[in-house]
Amino acid sequence: MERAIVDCREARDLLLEVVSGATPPDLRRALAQHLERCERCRHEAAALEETAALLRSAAEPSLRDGHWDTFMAGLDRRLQAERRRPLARLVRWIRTPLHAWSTAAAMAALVVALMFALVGGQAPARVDSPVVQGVPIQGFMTDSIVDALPAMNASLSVWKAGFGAIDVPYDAAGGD
Amino acid sequence: MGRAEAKPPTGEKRHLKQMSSRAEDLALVEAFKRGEESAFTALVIKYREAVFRVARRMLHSHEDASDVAQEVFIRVHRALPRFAGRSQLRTWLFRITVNLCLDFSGRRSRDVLTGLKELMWEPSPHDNPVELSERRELGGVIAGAIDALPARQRAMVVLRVYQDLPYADIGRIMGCAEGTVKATMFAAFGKLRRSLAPYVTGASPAGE
Repeated sequence: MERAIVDCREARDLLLEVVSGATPPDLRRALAQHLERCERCRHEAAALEETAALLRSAAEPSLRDGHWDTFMAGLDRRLQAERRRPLARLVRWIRTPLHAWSTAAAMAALVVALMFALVGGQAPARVDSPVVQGVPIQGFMTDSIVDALPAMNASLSVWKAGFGAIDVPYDAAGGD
Repeated sequence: MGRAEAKPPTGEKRHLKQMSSRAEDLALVEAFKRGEESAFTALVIKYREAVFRVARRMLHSHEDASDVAQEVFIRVHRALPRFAGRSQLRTWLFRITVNLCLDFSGRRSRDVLTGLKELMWEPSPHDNPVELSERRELGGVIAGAIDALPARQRAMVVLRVYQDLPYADIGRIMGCAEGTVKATMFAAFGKLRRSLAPYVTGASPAGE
């Protein structure tokens, strides 16, 4: 479908895209139609086009004789050095999609085996529920939670008394 | 718009060429994944010039551009087994190139004069000495104007003006929206017009 440009703002948005490189033909035609009618945009287009042409006039630097032979030899040396590193070879082997799944499966099996070996298939040792202020606490408690309970109890006392009651000691329940 | 009208509407041909090139790239990548190292060499030969030219324009040094281009292909060699073909290989290569150039120019203390010694023109036996001198001067001015742009603007100008990439591809390479490419290009061209004003007849800088 042929595109139509309605105003100068839209035309100027497209100008740079059109003068700086390849653009779809319909866009170029639409812009050309607008430029036929609008002198200001035509002037702007000419100036932009001249700048773009000047930039392009800076020719590609010519390459020295044997440039690509030297380049390929250097690249080959670097790739050989990369291949010689065992870790890099291992990483590359693992990253190959065909090997990635088998590697992942082997790693998962290894992790499960290690866990089984460490835990030895035994149930975790039972920890008696601690008793705080005469009330037994239900559920499985770790040593670190048990250690933290007095301090948490003290914090709760402060909170209950309100933050304004500064005479409630933080270590009321024996925390330090 | 003389230049615009002079160009034939080659959009469809260009598209077909790109499709064929993309299919060739995917075939080479698959061959490399199967263990054919020669497929990687074929990819290097296909893209080495474009990668080198972008790096050369961004870094203004033959040696640095060669180093960066080799590093691009080393990284491609490492990552190619995981290349899924969702993006175009060419876009991916340019993204690596631009990122390496941005890192490189960030690390390097920018010595514009050293860069400009390697001017954009190489002498040819047929060149007239006076004309050659003028061209060298102009080449140096243009290289200096591009080099004075912030790194990301420089990258976009190089990709657009010298590699003729569409805005959408430049956005993918630079990791930004097409609208951002447009705005950045507009700002870059404004600066270039100011820098090159003495060499552009009757041009007043954009937005002035």
